[in-house]
Amino acid sequence: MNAKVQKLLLDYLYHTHQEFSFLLTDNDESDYKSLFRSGIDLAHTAERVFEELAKNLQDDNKQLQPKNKTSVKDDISVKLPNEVWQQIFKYFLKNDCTSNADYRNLSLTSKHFASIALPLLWNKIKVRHDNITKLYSLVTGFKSNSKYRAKNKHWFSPATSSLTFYSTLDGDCYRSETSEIATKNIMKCIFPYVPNLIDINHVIPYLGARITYNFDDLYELFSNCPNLKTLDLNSVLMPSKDSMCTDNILDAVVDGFSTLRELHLATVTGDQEMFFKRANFGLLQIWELDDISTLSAEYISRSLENLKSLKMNSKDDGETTSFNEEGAGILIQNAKNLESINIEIGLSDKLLKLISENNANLTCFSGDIDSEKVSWDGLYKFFKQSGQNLQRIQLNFDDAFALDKYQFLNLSVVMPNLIKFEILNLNIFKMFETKISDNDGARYDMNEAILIFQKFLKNLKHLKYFCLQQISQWERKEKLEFYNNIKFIFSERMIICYDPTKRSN
Amino acid sequence: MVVSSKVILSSSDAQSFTVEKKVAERSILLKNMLEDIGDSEEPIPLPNVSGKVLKKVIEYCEHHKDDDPAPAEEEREVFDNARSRNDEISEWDGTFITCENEELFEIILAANYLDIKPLLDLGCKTVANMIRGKNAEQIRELFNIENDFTPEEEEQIRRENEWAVDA
Repeated sequence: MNAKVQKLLLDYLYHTHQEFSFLLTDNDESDYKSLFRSGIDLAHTAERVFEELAKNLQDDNKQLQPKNKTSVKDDISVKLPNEVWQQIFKYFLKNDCTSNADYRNLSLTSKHFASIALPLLWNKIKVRHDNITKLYSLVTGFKSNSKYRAKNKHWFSPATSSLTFYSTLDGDCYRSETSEIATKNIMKCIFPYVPNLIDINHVIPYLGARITYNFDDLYELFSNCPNLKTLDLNSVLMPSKDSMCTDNILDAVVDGFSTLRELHLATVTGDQEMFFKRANFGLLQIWELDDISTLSAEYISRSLENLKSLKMNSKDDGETTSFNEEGAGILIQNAKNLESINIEIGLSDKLLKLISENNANLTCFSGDIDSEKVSWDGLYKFFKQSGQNLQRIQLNFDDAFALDKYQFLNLSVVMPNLIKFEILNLNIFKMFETKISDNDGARYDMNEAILIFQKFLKNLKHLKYFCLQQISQWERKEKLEFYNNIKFIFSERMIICYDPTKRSN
Repeated sequence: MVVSSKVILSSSDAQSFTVEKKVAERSILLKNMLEDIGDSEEPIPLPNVSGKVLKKVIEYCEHHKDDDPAPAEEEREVFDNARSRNDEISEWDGTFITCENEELFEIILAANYLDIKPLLDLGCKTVANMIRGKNAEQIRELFNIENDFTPEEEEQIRRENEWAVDA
C-alpha cells in the first residue's frame, strides 16, 4: 500500500477509535442521542476522510502513469478465471504444433500467465531433439550438484507426469547408434527424479524409424516410475546387449508391462516368444505394434480382455517389410472387446472377415486399402456385417479409382451411426495409372476425377465430419481447382480438413 | 417458464429470450435447473450473462441442438486418438466465434457459467490458436497485459527454461 495512504488511514482509525472509546464508556440511555449525533458526525468525518483518500489516490495514480501513454486499455486477460486459462493453456500445450518457444513465450508474458503456464509446462515436459546437449549438461549438473538440484527442482520432479522426448537419428535415418545411446542415457538420468511419471512418449522424426531398447533400459524405467500407464517408445525391444538378461530383470520388466494401459512398442526381437509367454497385458487398453509371431500372439491373447484399441503395421527395417497375417488374426480373434482397429500396411480380405466375425463392439475402423490385398467385395461384406456400430472410418486409398464404387454403397443404411469418414491420403497418381491401363492410354483428366469424387461425397452428405487430409501427386494449382469443385457439396456442418486455401497441403 | 417445451431466459440487463427447452438444455446448468424445478412459468434469471452475449449463446445452442451430448473427456480421447490434432473447428463454429476479444471472452465466461462444454471448448481452442506463434510482447498486446516482470525476473525465467528453447 502507498505510504501516504497508509498514514492517512492509520490517522483516521486512531481518531475514530478515540471517539468510540469515549462513547462506549458512557452507556447511559440519555447519552444515546449524543451517541447518534456522534455517529452522524463520525459518518461525515469518514466521508470527508474518504473523499480526501480518493483524491490522494487519484493524484498518486496520475503520478504513477507513464507520461508517454495517453490512455491505458484494460487488461482483458483478468476477465477469465484461472481455471479457464488453464483449459486454454492445456489446449495450447497439447497440440503437436505448439513449440517449446511458444510456451516459453507464454510464461514470459506476465506473472499471472507464468503462474498458470509453468506448472503445466513442468508437469508435461516436452524435450526436443535439438535440446539434447543443453539438457544433458543440465541433467548432469542436476545429478552432481545438490544446490543446483534444489534450485531447479521443478524441471524434473514428483510433479512431472508426462515426458515427451523428441529424438533425432542423424545419418542413417533408420538407425544411429550414437544418437540412440545419448538419448537413452539422458532418459536414464531423468527417470530417478520423476517417480510419478504416467506417460512417456519417445517421438522419432522419421516414419518407420525405430530406437532399440533392451530389457535393462526398461528395468531402469519401471523401477523408478512404478506409476507408468502409457509407454510409447516406437521402439524395438530386445534382450540385454550382452544377452545375459537375468530372471530378476525379466520379471521386473514383465511386471512393469502388466500395469500399463497404453503401449506402443514396435516389436520384440531375440526370443520374442519367451517374453510373450511370461508377459501379461491384462490392464492394457490401447496397443500399437508392428508385427508379432504366431506363437507370441497365441501366448499374449490370453490376457487381452481389456484391450479396446489395436493398431498394427508391417515391420519395416528400411529394406524390407513384413507382416504376419496369422499373428494379427489371432489377436483380432481373441481381443473380443475391441472398439477400435487400425491395420495399416497388411490389411487383407481375410483380416476384414475375421474382424466382422469377432469384434462386434467395433466403433472405429482404420486401414490401408491396398488394392492388391483388399478387394471391393471384401470391403463391401465387411461394411455390411460390421457397419451398424461404426462411428468413424479412416482409410488410406492407394487407388482413388476405388472411390467410384462407393456410390453404390448406401452408407446411411449400412452405417447408420457413422459420424466421421476420413481419408488420410488419396493417391490421384495411381488413379491416372489405372485409367491409362484400363482405357488404352486415355488420359484421366481433372473433370473425371471431380466427377468421381462428387458422386462419392454425395453419398456422405448425411455425415457430420468428412476429412480429406492429403492428395498425392498433384500440384498446388490442381489441388486448388479440385477443392473448389468439390467444396460446395459439403453441408455447413461438415468439416473438410483438406483446404489448400488455408493449409499448406 | 415452460409452455409447450419453451423456456424463458432472462439476462442480467432484463432482456427476455424464449427458446425451445431442447435448446436451453445444451446448457448443463439449465438442464439440471429444469429437472429440479419441473414445469414453471417463471423466467429463469441469468444474472451473469448480458442480453447481447445470451443472444450469441442461444444462436450457438440453436445450431447445435441436435448434436449428441458432449462426450466425457476420456471417451473423447479414445474417439479422437490421444495424439491427434485437437484444434479442428468446423466452418460454422469458426465463423460464429470470429468476434472482438472482449466479446469472445464474454462468450467463454457465459459458456463456463452455463456449463456448455462444446462452446467452452470452442472458445478455449480459439484463444489457444490466437496465442500460438506469438512472442511475449505480441501476446501482451493481444490482451492488453502489462509486463509486470522486472528485467531480473524475466532473465531468470529465460535462464531456467533455456533447455526448452528450440535451436
